[in-house]
Amino acid sequence: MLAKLLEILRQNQGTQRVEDLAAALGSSPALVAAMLDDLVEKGYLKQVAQTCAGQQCDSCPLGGFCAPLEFERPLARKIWMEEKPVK
Amino acid sequence: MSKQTRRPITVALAGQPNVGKSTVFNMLTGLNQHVGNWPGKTIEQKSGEYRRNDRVVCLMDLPGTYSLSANSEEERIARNFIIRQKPDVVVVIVNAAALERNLYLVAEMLMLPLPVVVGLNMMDVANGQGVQVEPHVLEATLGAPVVPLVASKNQGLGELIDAAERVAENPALFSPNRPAIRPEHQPILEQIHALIAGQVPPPYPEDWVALKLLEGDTEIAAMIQQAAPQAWEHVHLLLMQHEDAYLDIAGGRYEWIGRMVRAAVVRPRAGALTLTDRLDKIATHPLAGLALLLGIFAFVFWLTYTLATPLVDWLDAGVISPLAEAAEIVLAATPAWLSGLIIDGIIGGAGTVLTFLPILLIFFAVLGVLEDVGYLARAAYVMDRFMHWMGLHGKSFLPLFLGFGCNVPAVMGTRILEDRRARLLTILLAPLVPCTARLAVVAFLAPAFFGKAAALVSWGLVAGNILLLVFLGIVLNRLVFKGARSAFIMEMPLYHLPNLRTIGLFVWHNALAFLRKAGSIIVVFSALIWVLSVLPGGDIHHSLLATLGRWLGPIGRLMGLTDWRMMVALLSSFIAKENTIAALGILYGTNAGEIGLATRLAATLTPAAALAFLVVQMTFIPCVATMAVIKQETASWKWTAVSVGLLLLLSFLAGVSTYRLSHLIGW
Repeated sequence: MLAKLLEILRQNQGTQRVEDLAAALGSSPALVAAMLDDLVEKGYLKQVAQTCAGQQCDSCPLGGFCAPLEFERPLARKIWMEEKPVK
Repeated sequence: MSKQTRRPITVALAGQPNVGKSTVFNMLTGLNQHVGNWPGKTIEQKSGEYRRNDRVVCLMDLPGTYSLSANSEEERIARNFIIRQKPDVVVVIVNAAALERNLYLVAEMLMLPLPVVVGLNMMDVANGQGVQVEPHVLEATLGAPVVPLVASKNQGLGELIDAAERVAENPALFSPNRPAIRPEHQPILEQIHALIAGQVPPPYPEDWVALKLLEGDTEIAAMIQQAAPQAWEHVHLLLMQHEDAYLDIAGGRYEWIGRMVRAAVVRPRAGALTLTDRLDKIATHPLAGLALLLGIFAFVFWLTYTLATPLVDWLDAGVISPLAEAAEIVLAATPAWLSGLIIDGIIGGAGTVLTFLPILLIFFAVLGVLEDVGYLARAAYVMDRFMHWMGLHGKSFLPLFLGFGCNVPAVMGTRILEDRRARLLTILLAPLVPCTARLAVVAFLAPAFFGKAAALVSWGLVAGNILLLVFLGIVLNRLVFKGARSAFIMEMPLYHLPNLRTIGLFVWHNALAFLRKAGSIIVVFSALIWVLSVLPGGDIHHSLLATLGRWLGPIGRLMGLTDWRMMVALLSSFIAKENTIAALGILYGTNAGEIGLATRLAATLTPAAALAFLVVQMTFIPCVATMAVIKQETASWKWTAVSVGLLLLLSFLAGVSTYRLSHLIGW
C-alpha cells in the first residue's frame, strides 16, 4: 500500500489532497495521513507545514502561511512534500 | 491448586503517546507503584502491582511508542523489554477515536511470540465524534481479545485484566490474524531466515529478526553483523537487492489495518465531515473550483467597494480636508515652503494614502473570513492544480500563495525548494502575484477611473496577473528551468464558522502594519516628492520631477500616458506601492482626497490609458524591499537584474498592448 501511495504521488505530480489519495487507494483519509507520517519517518516525504503559532513562525520561511500572525487556525492542517525521488 | 498459590503474572502496558496508557496504569496500581529510570537511560520507568482476589498482576508501563522499529530510545526500550523480559502478556492500549494510527503498533506486537490483548480506550471520545467501534467485531477480525475502556472513568479495567489473565494462562490458544508479507518478498524472508538460523543471539526470535532485517532495522542489522559476520555478508547482499522491502512490509500492515477498521468501525454519515466533503466537491473541482475562486474574488472586490467607498468619502471630506484647511490657518504665518511641505506634501500625499484605510480594513476582513472558514486552503489547492496543469512547478504554490499578502515572504518562502532552478523560477514569478499593497492601489484608483465598473476591472486585473504568471511560468519552465517535479500533499481543514476574535486580530495586525508604513516611509516619501516637485524654481512644470517625467515621456506616450506625472507616480511605487497614491496626490495638487484626485485623473486620462496605467502598476518591478530579498535569496546581482529587467519588459509590453487593444475597441 505504501509503494502504491508513492507510485500515485509519482504519477500525479503537484498538490494533492489526502482525501484524493485515500479515494485512489480505496482507503480512509486517516489511514493515508498515518502512512504519510510513516513515509516522513522513513525519509520519503518531508513535512513542510502544520499547525504552528507565535514565535515558531519567526524563523519559518512559511511563517504567516499556515498561521498568519496570530491566527489560531492553520490554513492547512498538514502539508507534506516529496523528499527523495520515488523509485 | 489453592487460590494462594496461583502464580503472579507480568503484564506489559504498551501504546502510543497520549492514548491513556498511564491512566490505565495509575488506575490499576494506585499507590503500589515504583518509579525509577530504565537501566542506563534517562527515560522514566514505572512498574507496579495490582492485586485481585488471589492474583498478583505485575504491571510494567512501557514508554509511549508508535512502532517497534527502534526509531527512538523509547521504541528500543519497549521492544527490548518485551523480547528480553518476556512478560506473560502485552496489553496494547489504543485510542478508539484514531484506530488507523494506533493499530500499527498492534500489528508489530502481533509479530512477536507473545499473547496480546487490545485495550480499546477513549470509547467515549469516539462515540462523541460519532465514530462507532464494534469491539467484538474487532476481536474476531484481529484474533486477539479486545476490551472496550474508558480509563479516565475506571470503566472496563477489570475486564481488561480478566482478558490478560485468560491469555496468560492459555498462551497456546492465542492465534491472532497477523499481517501478511507480500508473496514476492516471502522467498527473500525465508532466505534471510535460513542464513541466520542458529546464529541469532537469544532471546531474539529468529523469524522476527529476519523480518526486521528485511525491513531495514539498523539496530538488528548491527546485532547480526556482530553475532554472525559471515551470514551477514550474504544477508547484506540480499538486503541491498531489496531496499524497497520496507514499503511492502509496512504497506502490508496498512492494508491489514484498513481491513480491521473497515470491519469494526462505522463512521458518521452526516455532520461536519460530510458537509465538508459536499462543499469540497465544488470548491476543489478543477473547473468549478476555479470558477468559484474567480467568483469569490469578484465578490470580495464588489463588497469592498460597496462598503468602503462611503467610508473613504467620509474620511476624505470629514477628516483629511478639514485637517488641510486647519493646517492652512495654523501655518498662515509660516514660510511658504513649510506650509507647502506640510499641506501639499505630507497631508496631500500621506493623507491621501490614509483615506484608503477603510478599503484595506474591509479587504482584510473579507480575506480573514475566507481564511477562517477554511476556504483559502481550497483556493490554494485549486490554484496549484491549475498552475500545475499549465506546467508550473508543484512545490512553488506555497511561496506564490504567500505573495498575495506580501512579495517579501513569498520570495523568502522559496527556501522550501531545494532545487535551485525551481527556486529561481519561483523567485522570478513571485512579484507577479498581486500583493495587498498593489491591490490597495488598484482598489483606490479603479473607482476613480472606472466608477461602477471598478469591481469588474479590478477582478480582471487580478485574473490578468495570474494568467501572465502562468504564461511566464510555462515559458520559463519549458525553456530555461526544465526540471523534475515533485509531489505535494495537503490535509485540508474542516469548514467551520468564522471566529470574530481571529478575524479581528488579522485585520488589526494588517491595519497596524499599514499605518506604520503610512507614518514612516510614505510620509518621508511624500515630503521628498514635494521637494522635488518645487525645486528648483517653485513651478511644478519646470521641476526636477517634471524633467525626469518628460524624459520618460516617449515610453509613456506608447501607453497613452501623455502626462509626465503619471510616469513619476509609477516610478515612485518602487519605494513602496502605496507611494503611487501619495505621488499622484501631490503632483495633481490636491489635498482634497479621492474626489478631487479622481476628478482630475479622470480628466487627464482616457479609459484606455487609465487601464494601461493600472496594468503597468500591477506588473511593474517589485518594491525595494522585495528587490533586496531577491538579491539576498539568489545571492546574485545577475538574477536580481534579470528579475527587474523581465518585469520592466513585461509591464511595458502589457501596458502598450492594453492601451492599443482598448483603443481599438473604442475606449
